[in-house]
Amino acid sequence: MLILALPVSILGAPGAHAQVAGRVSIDSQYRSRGYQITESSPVVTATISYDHSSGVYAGAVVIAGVQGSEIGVAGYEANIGYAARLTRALSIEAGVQRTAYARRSGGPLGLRYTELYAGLTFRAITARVYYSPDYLRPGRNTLYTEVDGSVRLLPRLNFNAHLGALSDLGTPPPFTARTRIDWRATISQSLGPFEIYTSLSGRGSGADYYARSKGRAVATVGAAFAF
Amino acid sequence: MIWRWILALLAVPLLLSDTAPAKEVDAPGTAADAMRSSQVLIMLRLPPLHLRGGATYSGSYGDAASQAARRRIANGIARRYGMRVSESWPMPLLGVDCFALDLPPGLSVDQAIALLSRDKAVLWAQPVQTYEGRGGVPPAANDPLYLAQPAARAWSLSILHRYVTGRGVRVAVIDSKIELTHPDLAGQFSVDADFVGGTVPLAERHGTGVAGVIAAKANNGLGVAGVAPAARLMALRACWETSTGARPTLCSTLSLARAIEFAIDHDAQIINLSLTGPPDALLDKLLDVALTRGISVVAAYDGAAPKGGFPASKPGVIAVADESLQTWPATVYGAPGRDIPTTEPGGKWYIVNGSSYAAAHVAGLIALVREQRGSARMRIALRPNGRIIDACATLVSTSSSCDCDCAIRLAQKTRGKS
Repeated sequence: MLILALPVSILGAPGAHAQVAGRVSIDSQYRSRGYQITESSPVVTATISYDHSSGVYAGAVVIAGVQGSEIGVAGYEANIGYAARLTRALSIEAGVQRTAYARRSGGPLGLRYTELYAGLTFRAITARVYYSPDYLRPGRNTLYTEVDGSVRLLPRLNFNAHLGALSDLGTPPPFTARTRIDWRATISQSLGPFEIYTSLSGRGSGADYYARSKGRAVATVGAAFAF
Repeated sequence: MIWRWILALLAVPLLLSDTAPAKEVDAPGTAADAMRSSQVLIMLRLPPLHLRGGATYSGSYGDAASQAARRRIANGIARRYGMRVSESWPMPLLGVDCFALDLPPGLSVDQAIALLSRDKAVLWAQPVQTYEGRGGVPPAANDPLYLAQPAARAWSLSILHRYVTGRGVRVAVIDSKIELTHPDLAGQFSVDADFVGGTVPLAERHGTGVAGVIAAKANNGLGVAGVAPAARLMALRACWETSTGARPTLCSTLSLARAIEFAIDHDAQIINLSLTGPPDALLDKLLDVALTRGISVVAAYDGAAPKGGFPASKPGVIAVADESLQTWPATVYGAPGRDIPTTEPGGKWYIVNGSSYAAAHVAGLIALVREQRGSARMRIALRPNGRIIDACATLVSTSSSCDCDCAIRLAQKTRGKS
């Protein structure tokens, strides 16, 4: 929980040079990189992000789900990084992200990894690579590469496509392909500070511990409030 | 225990958000909507897109959460100064998010910009400016009575007005009560003062007519166009209309002296005295002061009076006669003074005659020259055949090969205007 306290204290008294943004969402599932992360469904996500005028930014996400009759933390993500514009349309960023998920809401956050990442954004397309020395277990080096693009279909209707590939740099775990592909397509409609969206996400071959359906593509819906 | 964390996180929006509901981000309005003089623009920093976490985050272009944050900041800034966010649109290519703020009544654009620029969240603040198409200016003024004005043809007034309009030149009209609210005169005055005393009437004919000749608004679709429609008039009432017989306009030494002193004190650049009378020591001394300070003094010539009447006879004063008269001395200038359409009290117009109005023409012409040259040094050009003023030649160099229109175009090019 220490990681969580850090971004909260940064925003304690936001300087006039910083922008603090927040977002709360409820989703039918929490899916990351093509996988349902926890058993819990639905999940509530709260995100805080902090942008300093120097280009330094930080963010934290807390995911909570219902388990039985209790609401429990299902995971968190926290990152800190730096972003800068190179030209009017091109920007770069680099940072570090810590991710931890629980197999059950309220349970131990056993699925953990730290990643160093770097990315390039050109207009509405972003490409990022993440290197982790401890992906889900110590010593497992992985490289996750993703490309993300958005296009505005109507003034308030947005389409986002995501493609990612997770590669084991060393020997992959048993029954796991060296490179696993994941993809997601999302359509979102914004209504003032609210947003509703539906996604279709899927993955390449590989066991999905939490999959409810046998198929590889899963549809999710969600709604978010930004402030 | 978990509950507390969840509640704490959900409470964060309450801590951060304004009490006012977040304003919906509208699609950009039409250009006409933006061109309201009671609006200013502020630019907030638009951070470059970057990882924000939360795998379910759609990552929509424009980044809804950070947009909401800037909307919140803009609303807070607006409320602090009594303004209101009317529209916003992000400009990622510039790295800014632009917000248009409506100003409350009583707050000027300059004041608003000064206030907003102090806020550290604001990258810069600026007014909403107006731009006009360069489709070309129609040659004729659209004042309906313009073509009836002798100065229209004789002085090529509309051609001159492409180049100069007497902008900002201060002309003191020392005369009877001018109708300041006349539709063809409203807004042309920087001063309204009375030096006669007693009950001040709403308007009197002589002063209103003289003011109209000098600076009636041009291109307002009404009435006439003054010789210097952008001049700033000082309405100084030192004369009054009598109610007997032909109702002449009369002025006294005392009222004139007070008015002339006021005009000098308040930095008039031109004093128009469309009146005549006997030589006067007090007025003579005051006019000496005016002339020494570089103020142009214009007076009406009276053919029936010895030496043309005072102050026209005073050396240094520009004496003007109605050019339709038979003859006048070599030291006197001729200007249009017959069948002059001008403003009449009651929001009307009528035709007048007299050297008063000829003098008014010259006062306007001097205002044009002052705008052009910025100084009192001038040479009034005359037509070859007689002592009638050539207004165009007074301003620019004309010749047989380059007439007024041609000379004005050259002058505009030289000045950098097109």
